Parts: sequence; structure tokens; C-alpha cells
Amino acid sequence: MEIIEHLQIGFSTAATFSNVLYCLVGVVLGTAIGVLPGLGPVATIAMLLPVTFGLSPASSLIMLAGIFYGAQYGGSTTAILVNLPGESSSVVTALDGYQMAKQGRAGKALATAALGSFFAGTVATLLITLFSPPLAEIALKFGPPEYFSLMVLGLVASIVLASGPLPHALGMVVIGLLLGIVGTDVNSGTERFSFGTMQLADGINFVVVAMGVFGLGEIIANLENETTRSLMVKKVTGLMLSWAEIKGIAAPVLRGTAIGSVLGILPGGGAMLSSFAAYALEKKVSKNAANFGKGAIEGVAAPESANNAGAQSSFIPMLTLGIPSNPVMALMIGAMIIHGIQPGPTVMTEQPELFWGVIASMWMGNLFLIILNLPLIGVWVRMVQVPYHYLFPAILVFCGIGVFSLSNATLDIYLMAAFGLIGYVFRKLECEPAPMLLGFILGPMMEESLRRALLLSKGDPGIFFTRPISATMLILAVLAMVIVLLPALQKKRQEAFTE
Amino acid sequence: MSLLIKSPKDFWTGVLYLAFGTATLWIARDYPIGTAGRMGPGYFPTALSLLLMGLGVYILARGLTRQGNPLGGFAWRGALFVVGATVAFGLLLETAGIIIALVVLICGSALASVKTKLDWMSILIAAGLIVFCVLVFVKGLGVTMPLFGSWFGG
Amino acid sequence: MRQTLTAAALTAAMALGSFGSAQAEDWPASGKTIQVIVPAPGGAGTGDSIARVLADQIANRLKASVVVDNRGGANGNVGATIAASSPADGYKLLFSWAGTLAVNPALYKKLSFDPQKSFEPIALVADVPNILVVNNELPAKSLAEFIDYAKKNPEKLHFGSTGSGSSMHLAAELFMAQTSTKLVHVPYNAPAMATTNLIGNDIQLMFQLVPGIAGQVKGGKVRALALMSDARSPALPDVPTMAELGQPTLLSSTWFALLAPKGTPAAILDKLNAVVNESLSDPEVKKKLAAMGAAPLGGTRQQLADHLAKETAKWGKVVREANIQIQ
Repeated sequence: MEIIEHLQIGFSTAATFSNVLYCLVGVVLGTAIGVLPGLGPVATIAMLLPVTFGLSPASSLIMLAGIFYGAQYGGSTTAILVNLPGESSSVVTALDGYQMAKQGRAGKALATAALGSFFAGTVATLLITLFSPPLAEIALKFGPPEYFSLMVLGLVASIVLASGPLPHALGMVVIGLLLGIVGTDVNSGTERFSFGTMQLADGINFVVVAMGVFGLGEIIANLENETTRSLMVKKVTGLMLSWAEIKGIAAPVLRGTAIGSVLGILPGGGAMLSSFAAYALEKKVSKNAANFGKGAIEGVAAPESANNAGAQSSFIPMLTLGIPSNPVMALMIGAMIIHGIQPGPTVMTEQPELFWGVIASMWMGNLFLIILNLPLIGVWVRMVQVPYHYLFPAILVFCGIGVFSLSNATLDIYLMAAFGLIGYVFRKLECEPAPMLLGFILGPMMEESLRRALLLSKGDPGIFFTRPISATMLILAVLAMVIVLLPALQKKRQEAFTE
Repeated sequence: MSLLIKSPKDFWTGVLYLAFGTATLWIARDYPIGTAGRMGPGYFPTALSLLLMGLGVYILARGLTRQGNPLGGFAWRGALFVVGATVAFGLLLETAGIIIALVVLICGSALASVKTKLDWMSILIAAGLIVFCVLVFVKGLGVTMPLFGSWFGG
Repeated sequence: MRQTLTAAALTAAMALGSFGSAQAEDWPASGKTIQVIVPAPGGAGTGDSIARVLADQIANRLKASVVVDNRGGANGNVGATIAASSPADGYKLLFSWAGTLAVNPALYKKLSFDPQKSFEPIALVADVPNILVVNNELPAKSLAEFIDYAKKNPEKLHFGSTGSGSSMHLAAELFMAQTSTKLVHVPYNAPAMATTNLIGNDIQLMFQLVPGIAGQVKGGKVRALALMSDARSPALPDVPTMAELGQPTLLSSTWFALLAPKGTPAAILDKLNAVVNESLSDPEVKKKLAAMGAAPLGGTRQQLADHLAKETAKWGKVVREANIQIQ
């Protein structure tokens, strides 16, 4: 069995004392920065890169990988406890997770996230071990038309996310798309909506928008009625999941894992799409659909599994083709180059102990994370009970420093403040920020791939329908659209009847 | 006025969307639009602005015709101090340095809450937070923030 | 309280003032940190990697504390502008490259810095050449066959780049002008996506930078036809140069250099120049650069000034003739 041999090579590298230690350091650090709002794995890995110069290539990659997937675990904690998604993938976790925390079910939400993540991480690592090379071929099938159709599908899904009025949600998606346009247009070099400032030439960072709209917006909203309303969650019901709850989340976790594993492979944001897609799918298939957005446990289980599966499978193009599928992978490639390893298809054959060592370390890392996170839940839950007027200045501090650390620019802090105010106003008007954030993420990729595809086809839109993967996704998007709009239309007719 | 607006939330959302769409349309007026086959940098923003304006008009009209929930109060105090303290933090970070910027951010934002009192507990938490940030972010991770900024020659 | 603060500020300001006039012998003073501004985001990219290796060397050789200050944005203009307006006391340096220093003056209508006037040259550091790579299914197996094929199929072949005015784009414009071929430009935001599409045959060729594609060439995922440099690259020793294939003027590379704000004392600049040259002859550094696909350069301060002037003229012409402009 070839696979046993590979795993033997892998574990003989990963299971040495020092590498186990670096893996542990990585996941602990990752969890910590994931929990701290604003500070993401990209900034942390960039800052820690010089530290890894002194380590062996395998040790440094094992540690950096640990930081990355550890941050996925940690990120959900802040999203659930204080409604602060530090990563695009935890935006959807915050939707139901935060509601659960408000109801005193923070422990259950955190446990769901940890267990779902563990399952998904383990399964996705198994996939990498068994099928890396063939899976990498999927990424190559995605040309510009396929990306465009995928983005269209994603946008339709974003409307499903909304639980408020449909036209409001549509408008929020469009505002997100417009905000995403800010910056230099890659096709013509024109700087759009940058107001002549260089700092806006590369667009607005996602974290700035998320911290502002979610973080600051939520703080202001919470301070609104603080005299009449208690913000402290006094009673926390059971930390652990009941058997019935575990049975209830089994199917969402499985579906989330499947979606995440596939979408994670695609370069350019597949992993972040996966949590949105998993949530949207769950909201449509779940019997509990009415509770989504109000603290549905399935709404935490599915996206959390999806984003962890996606985080693991995003290693596939990096390890097998040398192509980074997200900024963290680009940093890992930088780390390899600094160690004198040429990232590319040859790594697997020329550096088998490195390749399989990193994969083997993911099994250990996921195990460490679940051991680390389950007991921590009790500690985190107590944080929700800290009086809010002590808590919120601390949240602001972490948001401020985190946002500044993105690119050492104070402009990002001012932008975050502005988005905080806007976020609060939107909240007052029943306009949900989640669809806006998805539009913000997808917009630039959608426009770019649309224009790129038309450039390749010399302006012929047929390219979207003649390529099978693209056509399939467009059909799915139309179907999803019908499913979304039908209930709304029917409701309207009923309303007309009753009037 | 208030007789006309039946659903203030819809009405003001409509106004906001319409204003935002008009503004982006105005800014994007000089970007070349191109053709559907060979899109210019103005194609996408213009189309999106028009779509947003359309949605704005629809929602605004709905606010005039359909009964809805009232707006509720606006947290002026919260908004002012939270946003103000954050902006002050940005202004002070590189000029006065991280320590002073943090003091201003923590004390300024704390004023947003009516429950904030100047007691030992608050001072202890604030001091602990500052020490934590300096140790973790500046010393540990090496974020380029001066402890004392350009005003002090740092 | 207020008075003591003001007093402290005054003392600090005085200390700073006296520092500016201090002799270069005191430089670098212990307790002061030298900041190397890199106009790119941290961690990613060859420029950042080389800057970190160099910063490490400067720190060891001068026994000083040196940090890399990443100030990315607007094709390097953000970082270069910050560096241009930094105090010229030897504690702020700029590590930048061809794109920001030699191409942007032609590309942008207005720049808030002048690469040749706002900075004091210290030394050229390293050089990363462009390489012509094509999809495996393309029938052309050599440079000559490729030029022939491109001539027979005008505007049928698509090349990817990292945006208008990027090194990959300009190398292609240079190629088209000198070989009388017509290729279609497809810009990408991320080089990774372009490489994926190149392997997947959505685009047919790229003028990639060596470190970005060497692994894929070695792994047989794409075919390399020619290197746009004088000498072969240690990262890909089997790929012939353009000159070997009869195109000696098809040269394109991204070079990296260390500079300081205008007015930095000459003694400090000389000291830094010596350190850069020492570092570049260190076998350990040579090995690291080779692994990144970069060739060490070094040389005098004047050599950097001359190189900058020559490159600015060369790429300015390419940009103007191809009519590329950024608003």
C-alpha cells in the first residue's frame, strides 16, 4: 500500500519531539490570534515569518500551517461570543452563533463549532492524503467563465442568507459590490472610487469593513438601551451537546464538510465561499429553517465544518501545484522559498518528508485543537458574563490594533470608524450586513472574471453556456433564484388576498 | 410629513440607497463604459449604481404606501463616543504613540456607557489591557507601532 | 502633569535635533532602530523576502537593530512616498524595485516622489529575470517556433500579467515590439490565478518572473522557452537565454535596490553600500538568493544611479509606445 508508506514518511517527520512541539505552538498561537478580533492569520504569519528562518523547512511549515487552521477554530469563538467575525469565513457563524450566545447557549454553540471543525478538518485531511493530485486537477478546470458562474451562484446564495425584507437584502448586496470596486481596476489601471488617495488604490480590506459594520456597529447598538436592558447573560445552559443535538447536527456537518472540501480547492476564495454556501444550503434543506438567524444550531454546525474543511483542502493546490489559493498559502510559499525549496509539483517527489510531514501534522494539529478547545469553552463562556461596560472598550482596542496591523495604515482605523457608524444605521433600518459583506468579497472577483472571460471569447457571451461546468453552475443559480423568489412571491399574493 | 411616511424604516432605507447610488453614479461618470463585449472600468459601477437607485426608489415608495415599524431611538451618545474615540486613536497612534492612544481610546469609549464609573476596577482593567497590548503586539508580534510617537521624537 | 509632558517632549525634540547634526561615526546609535521601508505587504513576494535577508545582514554586520516596515499599496507608491518624506538621518531606508522606481514615473501622471531626485542611491541588491513560459499543448517547442506561430496567429494567443504596467505586461510589450507579433493582454490581480489558467490552457503564455514559475517548469506543468536575462538562472539552468537564441535585446528583469531619503549623510550611505556589498559576497546569502531565483548585483552607489537612469528611459519608452497609463 502506497498510502501507508506515505503516512509512515509523514509521521516519521511530524511525530518527532520538536515538530510535535512546533505543531502545538502553531495551533495554540493560531487559536489565540483567531480569538483576538482583528488580528488574522495573514498579518500574524507575515509578522512571524522571520522567526521561522531559523527552523527547518518542515518545522516552519508545520507551525505556520498550525497557525492557519488554528485561527479558523479560534475565529469562530469571537464570532459567537461578541459577534465579531475576524475572518470572512466566520461571518455566517456569527449569524446564528451570536444569537445562541445571547440566549445563554454560547457553550453549545462553541462545542458545535469545535466538534464540527474537528470532524471536517480530519475528513479533509484524509482527502488530501488520498486524492491530492487528482483533486488539484479540479482547480485547473476553473477558467474565467467558470469563476464568473461560481460568483453568480454565490451571490444568489447570499440573498438566501438574509432573514429581513428581500429588497433591503438585495440593496445591501449591491452596496457590497460597489464597495468592492474601490481600488485600481486591473483591466484598465483606472483607480475607481479612490478619491485620489494612494491608500485606497488597492481597495478596502475586508477586515476593516467587517470590524466596523459588525464590531463597532454592534457595540453602538448594544449601548442603545443599556439602562433598561441587561446585556449580561446571567444563565448559561449546559456546555455540552445532548445526544439529540448531536444527531441533529450530524447531517449539516457532513454536508458542510463536503461543500468545504470541494470549494476549498479553488484558488481565489473558494474556502470563504464554502461557509456561505453551506449555510445557504442548510437554510433551504433544514426542517428547522424558520429558526435560522434566530439561533439555529444547524446554522453554526454547517458553516463551521465547511470553513474548516475548506481551510484544509486549500493546501491541495499549494502542495501539489505550488499555486497559492489564498494569501496565507502565498505566505507559506514565501516561507518555502526562503528555505530554498522551490514550490511546485516537484515538492511531492523531491521532498516527500516535507510534503507528507505537513499533511501528517494536520492530523495531530486537529487533535490538539479539539483537546485544547473543549475545556476552554467553560472559560470563554464566562467572558460573556463580564459586564458589558468593561468588555466593549477592550473589544475596541483589539479591533483598532488589529485593523492597523493589516497594512500599518491609520486610514484603515478611520474607515473602520466610518463603517461602524454606517453599520449602526443599517441595523436601525433592518438592513442586514451579512449579504453586503458577501457582495463585497465576491464583487471584484465577479467583475474581473466576467471581463476576463469576455476578453478570451472576443466579446461572445456564449462562452458561459458552452463550457459545461460554467453552464451547470448558471443553471443551479437560476434554480436557486426561483427557490428564493417563489416563497416571497407567494407570500405577496397571500398578503394581497388578505387585504 | 409623518402622515405621508407610513413605514419610516422602508422610507429611510430607500433614501439611503437612492443617495448612495446617486453618489456612486456621479463619481463613476468619467469612467469609460465600453461595450458589453469589451467592458470599460465604468460598466460595472454604472450598472450597479442604477440598480441600487432603482431599488431605492422601490423601497422608498413602499415606505409611503405600506404600514411598517417605527424607527426607534438613536444611540447618539454611544455612536459619538465609540466613533470619536476610534478616530482619536487613529490620530494619536503614530503621533503620540500607542500608550497614549490606548488611554484615549479606552477612556473615551468608556464614556459611551452610562454605567462606566471611575473606580479601581476600571483603572486596573484599563492598565492591564495596555500592558497586554504592548507586550503582545509591540514586543511579541512586532507590529510597527511606536510606544511614544513622533511628538516625542520616537 | 501637562508641564512635565511638554518638558519631556522638548527634551526629546532636542535630542532628535542634535542627532541630525551628529557625525556618521555615531551611526547607528545603540537603542535606535533602522527601519527599512518595503513598499509591499509583508511576507508575500520576492521583494519582501530579499528585504528580510538583507535587513538581517545589516543588523548582524552593524550590530544594530533593523526592522522591515511593510507599507504596501498603489504599485509601491505608498511606501516610496513615505520614504521620500522621512527624516534623512540614516534610520529610514527604502528597499524598492524596478516597477516602483523605473516604471511608475512613466505610468502615473502624477507621482508624489521622484525616484531619481527624492532618494540617495545606496546599492543595487539583486535581480530577478522574466521568463517566457507557454502552455504544454502549444505546438511551438522553441523560441523561433513560437515567434513563427505567433506571427501566423495574430491576436489568438493570450498572455497573463499582474496588471497594466506590471513587469510581466511590459516584458510582453517589449517582446511584441521587437518580434512584430500581436498577443492579447489578459490582466490578473493575483499571479496564482494566472498560473492556474496558464496550466489549464485558458491563457497560452506568460512572461513570468523566475521564482513564481520555476517549480511548475521543473514539474513539467508548463514549458519554458527563454530567459530574458544575460546569463542563465541557477534556479533553471536548462533554460536558454534570449541572447543565446539570437534576441540579445530582449532583456527584462525586476531589480531590487536599497536607497535612502535625499540628504542622508554620505558617510552613512558609504557605510551601508559597503555592508550591502559584503553581504552579497557571503556564500550563505548567495545560496539564499539563488534559491529565490535572484542573482546578486551589488556595486557602487554611482552604478545604481546610472542603472536607474538607464532603466527609467528604457521602460518609459515601452510604456509610451504601448500607450499604457494609469489614471
